[in-house]
Amino acid sequence: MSSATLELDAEGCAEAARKLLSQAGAGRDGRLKLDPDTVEQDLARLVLAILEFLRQLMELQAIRRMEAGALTPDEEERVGLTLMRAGAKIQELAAQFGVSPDDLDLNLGPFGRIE
Amino acid sequence: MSEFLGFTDRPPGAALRARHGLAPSVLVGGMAAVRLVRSLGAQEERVDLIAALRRDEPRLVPLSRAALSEAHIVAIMRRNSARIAADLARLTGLIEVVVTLTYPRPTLKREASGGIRYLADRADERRSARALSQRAFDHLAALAAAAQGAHGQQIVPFLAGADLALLVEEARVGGLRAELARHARQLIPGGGGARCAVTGPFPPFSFVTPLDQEEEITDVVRNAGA
Repeated sequence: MSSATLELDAEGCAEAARKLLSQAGAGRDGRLKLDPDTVEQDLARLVLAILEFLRQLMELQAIRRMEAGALTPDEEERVGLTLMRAGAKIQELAAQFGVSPDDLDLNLGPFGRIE
Repeated sequence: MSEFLGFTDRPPGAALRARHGLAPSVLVGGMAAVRLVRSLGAQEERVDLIAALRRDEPRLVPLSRAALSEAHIVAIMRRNSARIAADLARLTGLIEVVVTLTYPRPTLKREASGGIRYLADRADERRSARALSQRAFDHLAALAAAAQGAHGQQIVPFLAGADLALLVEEARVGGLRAELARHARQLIPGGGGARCAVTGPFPPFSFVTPLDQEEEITDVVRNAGA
């Protein structure tokens, strides 16, 4: 199966990464702000938000390829199953760490949401 | 490194430079490119600074993409002088307000339905959300057009991705926001956690005419410097 790609220029990548960190627990300066009392949850929120962001990107790419007829039925089944299980696992881990599903849904500001 | 923020049809005055830390501008013909010497950390800072500049200098259109060298901005201005002049005439005194509708993400379907079914369901959900957005934005566009006729407001709608951008006169923003907020409640079918947010005012980024062959110009400048 071919790999998924996302086209963003360097400025776009830097801005998306900064927004992503900002939404996932980092400050405006891009530095992580971790509270000693909640460090485990803060790190879990950051890591899981990034994982969910990447999962959504791959899902969008998979849908585009499926609609373009670029995937075989076997590939569609494997990709769909992988994305579905990955999503369920991320939600499960989020629940274990007390992270709300809303915290995993990133809004990249000027870049919008993944649609 | 310097960064160019936009164009104006005359050099910015000394007071403007003092207030916002701008460097002398690059002039081509009767047009100036507004340059900032420090580098900006985030898109929000760029938007805020351009908005502040436009309050002092209404005849300023923002540059839609970054130009980081003098050679690059000169090439852009020479290639696009007519478009930039037209934008200066069209966008002076107007700002952008953005209406964004967000719908709650559907809960993930579990394994039982299989991978193909999962992808098909997700594709259907995206199509439904797009259709809902389109209907809502059609309504908003009609509302904007009606407001234009009734009050002499200049409101130009533009569907940009998932958002509706409205080009409006700065003095009308308050009333428009209130009107949009009233109608927003009618735009969200059945509630269900959907939200309608009105943000702005912003510089009119969505309404700036795309510059001609900017990628090609970038390549020319890069090759010339190599």
